[in-house]
Amino acid sequence: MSEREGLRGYVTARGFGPYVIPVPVQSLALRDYCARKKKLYVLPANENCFPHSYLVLEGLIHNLEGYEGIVMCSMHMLPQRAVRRAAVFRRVLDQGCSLHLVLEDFAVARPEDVAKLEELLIIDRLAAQGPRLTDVG
Amino acid sequence: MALIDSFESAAEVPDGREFLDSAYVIRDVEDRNALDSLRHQIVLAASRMIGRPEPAEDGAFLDNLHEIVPVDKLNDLRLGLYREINGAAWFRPTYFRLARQVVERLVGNELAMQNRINFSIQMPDDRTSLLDLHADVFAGETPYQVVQWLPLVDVKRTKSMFILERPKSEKIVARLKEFSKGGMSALYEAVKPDLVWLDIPYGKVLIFSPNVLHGNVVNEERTTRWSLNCRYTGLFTPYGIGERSLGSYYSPITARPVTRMGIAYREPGGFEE
Repeated sequence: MSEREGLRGYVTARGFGPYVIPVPVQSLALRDYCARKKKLYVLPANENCFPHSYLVLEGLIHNLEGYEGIVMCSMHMLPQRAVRRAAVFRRVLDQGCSLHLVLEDFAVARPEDVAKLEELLIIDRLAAQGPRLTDVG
Repeated sequence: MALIDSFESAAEVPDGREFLDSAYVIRDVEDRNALDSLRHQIVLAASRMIGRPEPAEDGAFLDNLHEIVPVDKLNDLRLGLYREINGAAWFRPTYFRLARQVVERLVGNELAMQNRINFSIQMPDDRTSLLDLHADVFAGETPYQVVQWLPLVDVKRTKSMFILERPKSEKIVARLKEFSKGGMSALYEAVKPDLVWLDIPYGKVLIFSPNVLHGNVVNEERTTRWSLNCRYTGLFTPYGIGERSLGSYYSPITARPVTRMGIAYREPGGFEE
């Protein structure tokens, strides 16, 4: 097997979760994350801006040969549907790679990590449906 | 008879026709001395950044960069050059000079230009500098722009970039949803036989519409690719998403006197019924 090196960046001009972060700022965050984790940063692929399209992500995970994994700003950039998300995790892990989330400072490197992240996503979604701080009092 | 039945000038027609047919044109730079000087300044900055003396031959230095700089230092060098050269007052005007006439023929003569010119350096076998198959409009950029793509060395085959010419690109983009499962990799496989690898010697410049599919792959040639790219759009055309708007991404470069007068006009007020 060839030696793996570097995390391939993944960015998007779309808003994700509660964030809208310009692509150049996302790139800075990814570069900083890689520097802190002592990983080689590989220039990012930019997702299409039309809603619900994950063509670039799907293409990226199709062949991660030579890379250690993917780095993106947040878990909210992953597909919204759990089944589609699970397929992404499976594809990444099956290739011996990991998926790094900068804002959550979390890496999905093993199946156990998938469960932890899924729990976080579910709680986050439930919390978003609850009352807002401004609704109270 | 001196009457004229077309609004297009004879000089405009060939560029426009070729561009609309294929989505790109390749032309000689319009000021070769300016190109050589621009490249020399980049070589001087690069050699200083890597602690080397001024090279004897600029083209050979750029072509063979991979022999003196390790790939894990490449992005730092690229960003260092990007920051320093983009900070020079001469950079954008000189760059524009290289293709001004053809850009004006294709886009118009009141232009907005990208604020910073991008640097691309692709060493042989380097996987860290890839720009996979894409169209800039997919990322929210304006469809009314062109890219001025300038090689600083001779480029061809995988040392260059590929493009899917206009009719083919538009046809497959209309079917984009069909590629949801395999993503852009599947799309790349589908269009691969039709991709055109641009052969562009140093001294020529490419102007293309980034609305069509394009990108690059791992450079399998023996020398390093150096290229610059920069976008232009008509000053009064719609801009893309916020981060690609006038100010943050584009700035006006050739606003005409009438536009300036229009901007300065203030309607008299204070009347009462």
